[in-house]
Amino acid sequence: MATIHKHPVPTDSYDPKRPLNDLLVAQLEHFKHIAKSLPSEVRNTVPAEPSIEDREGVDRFIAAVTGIHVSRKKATPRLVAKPARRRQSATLDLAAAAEETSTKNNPAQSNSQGKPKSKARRGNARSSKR
Amino acid sequence: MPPGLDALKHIVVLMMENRSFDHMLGCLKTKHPQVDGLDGTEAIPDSTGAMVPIQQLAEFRGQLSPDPHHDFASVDYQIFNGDTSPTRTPTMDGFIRIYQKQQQPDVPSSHHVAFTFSEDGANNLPVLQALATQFAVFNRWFASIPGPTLCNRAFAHYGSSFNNVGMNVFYIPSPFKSIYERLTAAGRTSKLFYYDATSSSLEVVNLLQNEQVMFGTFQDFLDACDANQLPDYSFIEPNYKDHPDSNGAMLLATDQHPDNDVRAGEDFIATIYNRIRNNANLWPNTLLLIVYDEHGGLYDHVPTPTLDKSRVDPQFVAQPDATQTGQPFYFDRLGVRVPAILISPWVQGGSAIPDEFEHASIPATVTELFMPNFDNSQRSIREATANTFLQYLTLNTMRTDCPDFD
Repeated sequence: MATIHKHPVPTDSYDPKRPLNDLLVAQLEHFKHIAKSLPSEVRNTVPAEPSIEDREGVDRFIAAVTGIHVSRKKATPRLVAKPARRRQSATLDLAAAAEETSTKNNPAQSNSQGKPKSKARRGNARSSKR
Repeated sequence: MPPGLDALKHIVVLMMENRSFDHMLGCLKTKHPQVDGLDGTEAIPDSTGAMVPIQQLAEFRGQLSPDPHHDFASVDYQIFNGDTSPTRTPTMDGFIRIYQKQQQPDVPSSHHVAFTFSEDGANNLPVLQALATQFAVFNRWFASIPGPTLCNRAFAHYGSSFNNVGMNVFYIPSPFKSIYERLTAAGRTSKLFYYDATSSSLEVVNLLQNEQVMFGTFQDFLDACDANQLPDYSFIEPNYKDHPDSNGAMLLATDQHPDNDVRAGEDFIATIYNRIRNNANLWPNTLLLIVYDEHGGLYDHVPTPTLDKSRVDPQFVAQPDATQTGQPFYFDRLGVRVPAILISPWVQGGSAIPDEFEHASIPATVTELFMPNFDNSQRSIREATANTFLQYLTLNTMRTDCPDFD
């Protein structure tokens, strides 16, 4: 079959200052919404919320918030490296084992220290999910 | 099982922006009668009552500014021409009248929403129209909601927009999950590819914020094709705006949203098609669906369907303050018809699919292929009852006559 030729796209179609359409206005609002939920130390690295007339500002803002979120997934491999750190802290492991032995002898202490910790962890995981 | 279905490993969906079926493909009917397009006699009224013919005068850019309204209330007007009576039926003739209202005072440019592209003229669409005539075109693929982009795209990702008919922020209620989360839980792979960080994704609130591993850029998609590492399911978002890349090069919007240049979108579609078509490891086992999210306020002649009650989720209702029509909406009607094309070497060339589809058909089909035992209580009735499109991989021998684009 013969090759089908596309229309060339003229370079004067390019207009990075074109006003935002309804879709881009809504997208900006969604990005503002999720930027508000960033931890304050991270939020401070994001450019100020732009007006819809500020096309370059909108681009910078969306790119920055996207970059922050996407960089989170790149943190995952570092978590995999955790076992190495464990091996270095043999004394801490021994201390923890000693503590576990002592709490086994005192169930009340075990309950009061262990449960809240795991609940707090679950709670944090949920709030970061939704 | 047909060999094409047996071989199928990847589904790729490209969702473009805001063009109706007749606007892009209606002209094809003259030479390809299987396409439910236009016969040249169609006309709709303007605000004076004068009938304006549907003409093949669409241009690639410059005609649709301001962007024709396509919020719920405006689409309701486009479909019913302002009739709000309980016995109304879709007449599909309010497009010019509502655009004239938007462009006060009335101007001839409001007729532009009734312009279509041609097949043989200088304003043809060589990529989209070739794919529509040489693979399978859906004659009845409708937007899931008679409304704007975000609620319609939600149906592709979640099988529902829940109570939403607009562009507002909303969260996904339990127990529903995105198709990407469901695939991950089932041990399958999926990615939502946005164009780049500046264009980014429209699924920021429910997905990008929480599920970063499900995302990649368009370059990641191209790289995955070349490395034969395409996920089981890929969803591609186009570039939504003109902007420079990191080296200052011009990146044109490729989404075809009015008034972005339609030719840039054609080039984008061809790039994706060519990447799959030219990879012998992907082409035989990949199904590509090109579909538009909604009609963008542009004319289409096919009346929008009412859904059978068995397809309606009874818990979802959009209240009058959301619809802005004075009436609630029970998610029991579909939106305006949009272009949709099914591409695979196992699809009958030049075929037209007559059955009714909507965006919930996307997660429904992905689920059918990759998670056939999925618990229906974990997804919407709309999705669970939507038509799926795997059965159109009917050929016993893989085609060797598929088009190439330069």
